[in-house]
Amino acid sequence: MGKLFSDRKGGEKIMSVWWFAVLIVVGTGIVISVLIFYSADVDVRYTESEILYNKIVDCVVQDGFLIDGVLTKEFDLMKTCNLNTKVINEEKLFYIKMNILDENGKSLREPIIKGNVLFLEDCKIQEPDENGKTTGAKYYPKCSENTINVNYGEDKKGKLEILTASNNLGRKIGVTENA
Amino acid sequence: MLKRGWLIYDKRGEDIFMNVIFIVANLLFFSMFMIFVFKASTGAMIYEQAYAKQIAMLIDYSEPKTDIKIDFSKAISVAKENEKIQNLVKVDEVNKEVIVSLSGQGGYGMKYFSDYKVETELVDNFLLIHIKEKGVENG
Repeated sequence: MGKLFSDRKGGEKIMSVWWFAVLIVVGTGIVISVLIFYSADVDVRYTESEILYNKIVDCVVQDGFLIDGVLTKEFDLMKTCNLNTKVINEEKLFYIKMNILDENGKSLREPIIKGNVLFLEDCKIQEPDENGKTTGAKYYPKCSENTINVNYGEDKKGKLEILTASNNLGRKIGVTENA
Repeated sequence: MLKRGWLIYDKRGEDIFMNVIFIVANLLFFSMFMIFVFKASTGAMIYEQAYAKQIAMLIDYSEPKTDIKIDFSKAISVAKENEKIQNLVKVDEVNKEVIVSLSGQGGYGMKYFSDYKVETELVDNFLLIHIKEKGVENG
C-alpha cells in the first residue's frame, strides 16, 4: 500500500480501502433509490377504463333511452362511439363487454365483445371474494364494471351491463425511434 | 516555521499533497451524487410520462369539436434545459399514440383509444389540442 493508504506502522491513513468501500456502497444505494423512485410508472389504467366505460354509456344511451339500432346485429359499437379498432382489437390494450338485458334479465342481443378477451378472466380474478379480499398482480388490467337501468323501444325497461378494462401502460421511446 | 494542521504540515511536507487529494476526491464524489439526484428529479423523464398520459386521457375524455388548452410551461422549461425546442409533442394518428419528447433522448408514448383527428400546437406557454371528427378537416 502506498503512503496515501497506510503509514509506516501499517495504520490506516485518510484514504483507506474501507473509505472507498463506504463511498461505493452509499453511492450505489443513492443511485438505486433515485432510479427506482423516478422511474416508477404513473398508473392511469383504472382511470382509462372508467373513461372508456363513460364514453360507451354516453354514446349508446341518450336521455335514458338506448339509441336506435343498438339491438340490431348490424350495430357497430366501434364506429358509432368513435373507438379505434387498431388500438382496441389489434393491440389488445383494452377490453369491452357490453350486454343488454330486459327487465327479467334475458339478453336482448348477443353481447358485444371487443379487445383482449383474456382480460375478462383477469378482471374476474381481481373481484373481491366473500371476505372482501382481492387478488391481482401488478400487470393485470384495471377494470370498471357497472349496470345501469335504461329504456328501449316504446318505454320498455331494461339493463345495460358494461365491463371495460385497460392495460395501457405507455412506453419509453428510444432515440432512434423518435428521430 | 511549520504548522501542524489541516493543509500546512509536516516535517516532510508529504501530507499536504495527500490531504488535498483526499478532499478533492471527496468533493468530486459527493458532487457527482448531488448532480445525479438533481438531474433525476428535474429531468425530462418524469415530465414526458406525466404529460403524455395527461394528453392521451384528455383526448379520450373529449368529444369531437373540442379545443383543449394545457399549461405547458414546465415542459417547455425542461425542454429548453435540454436544448430541445421543436417537436415537443407529436400525435401519431396512425398508431393513435401521443409522444412527448423533452430531451434529445427519445421520449414517452401513450396510446389513446378514440378514433379522432387530433392536432396540437404550441402557443406561448400553452399547448392547444384540437379534437376533430375523423375525416373532417375544419370541424
